[in-house]
Amino acid sequence: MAQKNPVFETLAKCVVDGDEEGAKRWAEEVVRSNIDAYDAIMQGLAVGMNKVSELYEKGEYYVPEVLLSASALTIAVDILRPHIKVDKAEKPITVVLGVVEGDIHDIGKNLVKIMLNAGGFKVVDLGKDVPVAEFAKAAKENNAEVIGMSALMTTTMLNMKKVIDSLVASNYRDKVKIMIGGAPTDSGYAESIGADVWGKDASSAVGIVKALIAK
Amino acid sequence: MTPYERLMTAFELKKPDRVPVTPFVREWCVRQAGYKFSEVMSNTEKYVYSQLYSIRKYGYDMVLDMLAVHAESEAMGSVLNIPDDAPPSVNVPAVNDLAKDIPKLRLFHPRKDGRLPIILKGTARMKEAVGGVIPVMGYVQACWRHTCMMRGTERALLDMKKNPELLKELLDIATESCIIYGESVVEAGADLIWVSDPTSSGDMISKKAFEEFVFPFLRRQIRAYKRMGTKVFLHICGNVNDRLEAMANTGADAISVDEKVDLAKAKSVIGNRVCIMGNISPGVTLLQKTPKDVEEESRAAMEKAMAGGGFVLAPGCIVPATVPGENIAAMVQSVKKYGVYQ
Repeated sequence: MAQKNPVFETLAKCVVDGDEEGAKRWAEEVVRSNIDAYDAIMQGLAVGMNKVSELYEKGEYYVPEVLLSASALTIAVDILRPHIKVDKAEKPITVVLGVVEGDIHDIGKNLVKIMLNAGGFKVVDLGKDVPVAEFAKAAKENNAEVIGMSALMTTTMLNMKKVIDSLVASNYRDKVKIMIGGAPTDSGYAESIGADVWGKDASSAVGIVKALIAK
Repeated sequence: MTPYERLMTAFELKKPDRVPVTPFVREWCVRQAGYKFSEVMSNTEKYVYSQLYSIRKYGYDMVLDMLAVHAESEAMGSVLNIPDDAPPSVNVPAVNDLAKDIPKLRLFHPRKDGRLPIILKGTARMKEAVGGVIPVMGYVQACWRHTCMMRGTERALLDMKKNPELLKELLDIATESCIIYGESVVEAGADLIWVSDPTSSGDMISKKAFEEFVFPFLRRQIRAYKRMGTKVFLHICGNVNDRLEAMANTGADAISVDEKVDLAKAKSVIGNRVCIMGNISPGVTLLQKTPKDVEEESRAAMEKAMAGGGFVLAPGCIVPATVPGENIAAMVQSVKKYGVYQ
């Protein structure tokens, strides 16, 4: 294996510091000097975002800091993504993501999306306040392996069950794995509505999807 | 004691006959009364009926005028999405470009703009129906929440980093409008105001950010209500252990917390200054568990925080529409069983 490029560490630091300008400059530098774009994302940016998750976990970072880091990460990923050599990227797993109907709290979902994107997954983002039927429709259309749902309110989390019921009704439940997340939910709730797994936060998303697919 | 006397006594840090119990029920009542949420959004009579129907059936201690979901932000130009059977949400925030849009903001007239007049009518109707016997709660967003609902939460959080000065300008306008609206809520008959600030949660912003961006404005808002002679309770969701004292310093009579805060801790840190409200889990216990579990969690909550008075048994957040009636009944039953003061 080749020596780890020092630029990766710089990219990671730009993400941790929420340094948008630096992230842009160094991502462009990667492209200019023909460094492998996929490696720069996985060994640089994603490493930085994992560090951000750790800092959030420890209570040193809060949502504004995470958002700023995510913004720096997105800027760099957008620059690097077109330069990923196709044969190097694994066959992407597709994840349909959305905030359930009635709920517009999409920060957590957006962070999950960014983490999954950085982790090499293909994300179909349905956005927020997504009508129940849209999840099944998007999963079928995109041949998705995983559906991820989020809710931040005790009042809207109930719609997660409706989505799962709609998948069962259309005999599609066993074609997809379902993960849920969001502040009012827990693993007990996930189990009670027939989801496969509950995710505590955005940083656990990549690990969860990998585990789901391996099952 | 009447429910009014009971709640006011607790808010004054004294011992009522028993612990007051105030489930935060809005869509739950709407469902109980057989309506859809979109029906009550435009029909005050139906909303008021849902509140009166539910409190008569279940016998808790407060009616809630909570139709004002983001209504202040709507009246200042944010566009709401109103689903068929769920509370509304902000679809298009009023402030897109801080520098360009802040100067265009116009303070609303509570009796003319948006849905504010019909909400105020609902408050007045409830006061007519139960005033003096059952306390009537009016709802006003916290200034920071209002800011987020005018700006978009994600953008407002980023503004803390990128545009702090303009964000404070927006907060200032939000605070002023929350005070104006609160004044009309009190005038319409509210005995107490619920100031709700989910976006100040310790799961969202640091204590430092709370102290810099939220606290000075929130204190201004709450102190203005206090000068109008009304009672105020402040609710912030999530882990607020590091900012309990700051919450008490806003001047609120009561602090409402969810299950991420230990009631015994809240009681010991600020219980000598403010009434504590909490913290039965709405999403787990009320929604998914049995009446027996609700009773046990309620008993444990009272054991931790009722001593000496100044405690109200409440859920940690709004009660979902599909919570079984037996579980609300169990909450009410538990205060009669375990919450009587000697």
